[in-house]
Amino acid sequence: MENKYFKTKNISYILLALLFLISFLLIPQKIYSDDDGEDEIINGFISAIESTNENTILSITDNNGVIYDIIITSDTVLGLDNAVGERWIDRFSNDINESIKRLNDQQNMLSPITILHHSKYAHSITTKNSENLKTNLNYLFIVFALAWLSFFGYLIYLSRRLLNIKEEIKLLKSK
Amino acid sequence: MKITKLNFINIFIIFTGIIVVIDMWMIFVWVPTEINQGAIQRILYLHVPVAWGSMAAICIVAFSSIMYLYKKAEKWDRIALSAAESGAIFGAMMLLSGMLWARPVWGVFWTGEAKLTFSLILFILFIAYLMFRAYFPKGIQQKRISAVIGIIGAIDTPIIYFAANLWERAHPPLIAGPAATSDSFISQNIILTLLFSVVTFTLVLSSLIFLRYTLRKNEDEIDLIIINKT
Amino acid sequence: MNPFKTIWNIAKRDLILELRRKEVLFTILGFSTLVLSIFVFSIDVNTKETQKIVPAIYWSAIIFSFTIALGRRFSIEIENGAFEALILSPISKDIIFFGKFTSNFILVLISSVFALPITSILFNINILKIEYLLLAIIISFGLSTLGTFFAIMSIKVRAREVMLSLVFFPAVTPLLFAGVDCMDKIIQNNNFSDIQSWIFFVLFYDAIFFLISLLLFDHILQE
Repeated sequence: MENKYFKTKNISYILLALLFLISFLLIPQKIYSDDDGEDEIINGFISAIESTNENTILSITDNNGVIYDIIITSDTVLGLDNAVGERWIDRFSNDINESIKRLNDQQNMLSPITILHHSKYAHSITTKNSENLKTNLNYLFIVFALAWLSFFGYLIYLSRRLLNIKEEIKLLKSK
Repeated sequence: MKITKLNFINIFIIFTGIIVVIDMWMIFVWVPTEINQGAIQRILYLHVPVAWGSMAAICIVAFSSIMYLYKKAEKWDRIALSAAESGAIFGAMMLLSGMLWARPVWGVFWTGEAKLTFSLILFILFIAYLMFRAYFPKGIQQKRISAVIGIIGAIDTPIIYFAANLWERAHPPLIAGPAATSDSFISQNIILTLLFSVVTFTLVLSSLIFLRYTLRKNEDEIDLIIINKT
Repeated sequence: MNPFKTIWNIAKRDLILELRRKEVLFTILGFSTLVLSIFVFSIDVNTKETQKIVPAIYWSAIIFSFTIALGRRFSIEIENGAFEALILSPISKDIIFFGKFTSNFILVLISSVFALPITSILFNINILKIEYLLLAIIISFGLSTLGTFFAIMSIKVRAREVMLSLVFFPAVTPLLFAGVDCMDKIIQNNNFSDIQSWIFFVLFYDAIFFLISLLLFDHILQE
């Protein structure tokens, strides 16, 4: 009765091998061909802000003096510091007037900004967060402390259990 | 306290400890601070090696599970268990260091980004493997079923990564901090430190696996002695 | 005996049991309706933002209810020793897997198709599209493959239902991604070409896990 009609085992092995072969051939191509969908990055400062009825266009001048025109969409995320260093994060469409005011401030301060965009449509417009850089050391400390605590904790736990068990084996053998 | 013998494992662990100290010196003293992100960038030297370690661990689990099903030798089952436990610890560290890095740099702890989704599921797979093992009645079937979970988990991980990549485009990542910049200063020193950290954490992973393996072997020995006595 | 007939007999037995007790089908339909209606109570249905999370709600309802139903089904089998008798019978293990898989597939397909009109009524979405059916079929296939496999695997484990969901959920997350993203795109009236890569991906996933389940099925049954 065993596998008289289907040779399921053999067929499965062959099909599985074929599928893996296909995936090795196709999937890397698929991943690389999607690369043009990635965001591009521009660093620079705002040289002009132009609002029309439909959309808002930023002109960005980068370090080499090249000027880019970036279109702000309603989904663009803004993360901007003001002169005091307070950070303001919002979506452009939530409060368009406030967003444009903040961007004008950035232009007046000539502060360096980073833009992530995809074919000139901005995803995010951010300035360097000066406030966070101070608190960074806390995060660094917490991460390394936790890492070494957990590793050494596990190591000590293992070696203690190992010692106990060796004692126990000796006891059991001597009985 | 008793002085333990200087066997292979102890020497290996001491060697790993020395390498770890050198690595810490490189991370905190030797390597220059990266310009764009500041001091927080030093988490990278922990995060990348730990992520690599957890992926190496799932590969070890899969390989030894296949070998266990094929050869039926206890050795392979022990290796799979030890790799899964160390992998779970590495996975937890990967998630934690990643989140604590993302908070100051991206402004959020978590986004729907492909790599984050992938690493969370990888961690859950390790936990599932270990819990299933712990809750199953002891015996050969327990080992065999754990091996099956290990194999399925390892085959699933690249598929999940691919799916998460496809999925990501539906949710553009929310970046609300200083983004990575194109003129990010990556010097030779940074790359060298990163590579050295990868080597270090590979050594840490293997010493944890070694130790857990010895423990498991001794536990089995006790079970055998008790069975023989009764 | 014809293997197809054996497979159908195993599946038919499950389905007849199901028709008599109506336990699993009610679990799936009742639970998914409940999850959907809780979301209707807790969020504002008619905004555009809400429409975007409807696929996620739908698929999580299906996956949760399916897991509960799987636990129910196999606990019935263990109580009466039916499954052990099935394993001891002189049938090839593959055929047992095919049979169990078929009955699970039919159940999850029925419930995911029935949950569609409920979703559409509660969330004001037009569902009269053939793409939904196609999606339901291929994703139910993957869900029932891994569901059957893991449910049989976790028969002997303590805290069975928790353990089942612990291994089942991470393994089927790719299907969840595919289902949610495809449904989202279908709701927004996109073309077939937009979801094409997902469809191929799900087919690939189904094929791989079906074959792997077949190959490893022997190992999880051996004592």
